[in-house]
Amino acid sequence: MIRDPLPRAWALLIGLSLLSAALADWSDPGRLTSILILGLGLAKARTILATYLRLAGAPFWMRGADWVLALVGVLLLGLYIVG
Amino acid sequence: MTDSPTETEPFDDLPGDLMIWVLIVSELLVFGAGLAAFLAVRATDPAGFATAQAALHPAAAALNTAVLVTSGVAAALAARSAEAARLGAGRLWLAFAMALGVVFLVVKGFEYADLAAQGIGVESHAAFTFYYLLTGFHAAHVAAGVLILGLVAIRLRPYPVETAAAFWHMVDLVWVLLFPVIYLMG
Repeated sequence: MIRDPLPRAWALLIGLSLLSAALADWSDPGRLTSILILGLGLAKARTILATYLRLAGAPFWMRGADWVLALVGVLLLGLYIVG
Repeated sequence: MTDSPTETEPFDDLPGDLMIWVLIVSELLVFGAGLAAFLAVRATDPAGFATAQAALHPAAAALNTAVLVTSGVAAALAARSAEAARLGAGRLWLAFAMALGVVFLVVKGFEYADLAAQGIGVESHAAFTFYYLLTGFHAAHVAAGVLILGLVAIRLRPYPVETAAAFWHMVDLVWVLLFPVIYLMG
């Protein structure tokens, strides 16, 4: 178990990236797979904000960043689904 | 009513400089708008965008994701070292982060060169216009980030290193959103 949050976040980011690549490589990514891949991208973005940019220690700002990410995520997801 | 001495303002909790956060949110919204435009235009020609996507290099982009997130942790460790006045370690982490930034640009260069060899350019299809615009603008940020990390390494002090690392994390943050939308989503 890695105690230091930085290498732990790095391992999580690498794991999520591998999972995205595996999902995309699995077959021609369909709608559900693509939505999952977008979700993994947003999870990576949140990990970077929380740990690399240290927002985890500032809950007020982390909530604000979550709103911005949610806005971007909903916009991208909506446009993807409409397409 | 007076504030108690222990009460803190929200800005006191914000890690790093307020202006770098204005930049981070602005960049996130600019690239978010770019990706939204990409998906909106894609909706008008899904088959054309799928054909264009098949010419891209998702393996190279996946490699670059690993390179950039590793570079990000190196920049964060550089900031931590600078804070602890461990100047040698701070410079080493910054050099590692910069080297990985250069690796990212080299891999991106191979991608562009291969597409050019196939005769694919900015005007080949709307998908490639967005591809070159978004990844090229991002690559320009990577190049600027490498330069900034190099500048703060010359006279290592906590505040500039933390600000430079925050810029670098913003570059990382944008990439983890570009990668799935442009390369992976079918």
